[in-house]
Amino acid sequence: MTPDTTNFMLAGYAVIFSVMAIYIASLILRWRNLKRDLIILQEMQAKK
Amino acid sequence: MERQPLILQILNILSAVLLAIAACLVFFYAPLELVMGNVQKIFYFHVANAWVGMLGFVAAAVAGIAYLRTHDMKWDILEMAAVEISLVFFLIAIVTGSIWAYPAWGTWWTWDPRLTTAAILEMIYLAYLLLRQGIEDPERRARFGAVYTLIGGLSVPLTFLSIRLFRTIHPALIGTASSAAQGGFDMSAPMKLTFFFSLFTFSLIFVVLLWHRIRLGRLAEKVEQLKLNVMQ
Repeated sequence: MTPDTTNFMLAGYAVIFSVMAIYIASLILRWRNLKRDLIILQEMQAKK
Repeated sequence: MERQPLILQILNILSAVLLAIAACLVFFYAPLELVMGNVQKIFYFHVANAWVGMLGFVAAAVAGIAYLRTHDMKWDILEMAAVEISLVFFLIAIVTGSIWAYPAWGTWWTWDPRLTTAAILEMIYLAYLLLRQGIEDPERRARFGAVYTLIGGLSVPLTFLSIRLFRTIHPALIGTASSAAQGGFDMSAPMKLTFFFSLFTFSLIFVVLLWHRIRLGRLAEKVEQLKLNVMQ
């Protein structure tokens, strides 16, 4: 008889999609932070 | 650093659509494997993630060689991007493998040659990220990274071939497994289609993420340069 291993499958796919989503979110967050830093630094350079 | 190029925007959408199709193929098209049940469906994305992970580590080694030859920082940015993305995908492969292992082998983890070499591979590149952060000088950091990924890259074929060279319980898909390998299964046509579609989708996702990560690396370099100018 085929065992019911559906929960393990769902756990596996939850890990896959969660980790990928966290990584993509980290890319977006780092991009935004760097853009903010860039604007501040450009303003500081203009004042110099 | 401007808007994303049009090709990248198209690839973003394409990779999301292909990922959705791949997920549909896994859940609704690929047949149920009778011995293991639904957990076998982890296989499609598990192998695709491991493939992309190894691909990135090899790409990082190639970028390392290119840096050592040219001393062009663009190769360092590529190398760093490839390692970071591969670490994420390879971690997914290890964790999903463990989730699959429990119902299939009766344990979350065993010090099997494939699992051991995969864990070592992940640790090697995790150490790469940590060690890089400790080096301030960009050129020294890039030189260190290039040599490290070159040497670290040697562990990729070892991990790939471990199921063919050693006594193992991990199934082999490509080529002949060790005579002692257990747990393999034959793929039907719908399984093969789902598998190769997933493999292609994750390869595309890797390229798209690599592009984004390279853009991030270039922006970080620009900010670092500007910081130095302002401080002077």
